[in-house]
Amino acid sequence: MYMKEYKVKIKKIDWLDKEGLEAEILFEMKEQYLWAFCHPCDFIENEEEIVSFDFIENEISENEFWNKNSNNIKKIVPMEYDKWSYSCYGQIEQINPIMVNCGPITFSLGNWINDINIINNYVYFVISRLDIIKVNKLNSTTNII
Amino acid sequence: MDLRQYDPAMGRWVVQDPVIHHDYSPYSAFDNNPVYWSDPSGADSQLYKDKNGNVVAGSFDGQDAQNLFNQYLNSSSKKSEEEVQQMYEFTTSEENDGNGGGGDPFVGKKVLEAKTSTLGKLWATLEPRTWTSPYNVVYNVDANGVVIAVRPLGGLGVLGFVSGPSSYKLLKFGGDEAIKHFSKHANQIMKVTGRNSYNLGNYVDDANWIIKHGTYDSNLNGYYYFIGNSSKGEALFGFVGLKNKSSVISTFHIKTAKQLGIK
Repeated sequence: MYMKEYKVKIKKIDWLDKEGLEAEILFEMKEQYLWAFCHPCDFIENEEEIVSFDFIENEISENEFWNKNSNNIKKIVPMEYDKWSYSCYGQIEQINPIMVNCGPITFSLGNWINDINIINNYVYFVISRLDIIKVNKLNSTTNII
Repeated sequence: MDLRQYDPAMGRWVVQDPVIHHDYSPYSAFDNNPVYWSDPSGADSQLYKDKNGNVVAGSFDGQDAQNLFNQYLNSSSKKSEEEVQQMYEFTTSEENDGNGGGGDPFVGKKVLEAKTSTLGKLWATLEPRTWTSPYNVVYNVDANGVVIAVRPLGGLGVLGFVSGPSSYKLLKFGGDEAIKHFSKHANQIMKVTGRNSYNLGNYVDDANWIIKHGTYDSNLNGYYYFIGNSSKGEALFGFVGLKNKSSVISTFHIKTAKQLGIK
């Protein structure tokens, strides 16, 4: 599984279930504050951590995916109704898997298209739940961003 | 109502629905969604409308459900833990329902009138009856109207509960944790499982179904089961976590294959 790793600062932990290690995490990276879901969570507030990200996508139309980022921007915009939901605007960097650079985070969108012509296209997608995952530093082999 | 009679003392319909709905018990009403539908004549469910014909009831699904439960959580009239447990009709796993373990408190209780026919009670006994609770739990009822078995409502979407009429052990969340987790995770589960609506009863039923049929992960102390794909084809799993050394549900949410370490 191709996944990038990032250094972030954990700013706040809101426990949904402390015993069950389920929490909402506010973290800072590249001068942006973002919320994410975490389970199991063993973060500590105000610590710097190496993390990776995963997400559950909200289904949108193919037309929106390819055409809604007409201003060719890279950014992650929080949605109003949920801490973990974001509108993501980014540029496709590669395929197999498709990696979309959304500014602070580059997301993997899986292997569902094999056309190299889509590289460099700007796209839009919606994250229903952003997940933050602590990376075991000893096992980490990839470059940290 | 003109076409059906309701006994407010029992809180039950005393006659079957005059309109046949193949997906529902003839003793259910409002298509099991009284928040959305009304039934002023007793004939069939319809939308709540004002005198001008405008729909005034909000739908009870997706974001609306989440907002409603957020509103509930923040309200000053928050129910006590005991009241919340009673709302769900679920019992603890330690309670004995007479079926050899934890189960539903309705087993052994009379929820419908005794059935009679011109051919006598034997004939009535041969005709199966069910009663569906507002929380989408189906109770098999004998000729005397007494609950003999309980199961989740069949055909509830992709998960397709088919547990059968045998005693079904329903685990619960602690306190009012179910509402908190429902408000956070139900929207995603509803979408992944392709449902148009989703309520708290569905959420607890689904969690129990995954416990019964899923794979146990000792690292996470919980069960997972494939429940659908993302729009990009990624496999998504329902995960039900348990409290340590107990049979209380701690969470029910979606995990990806990556998070579960599944290739």
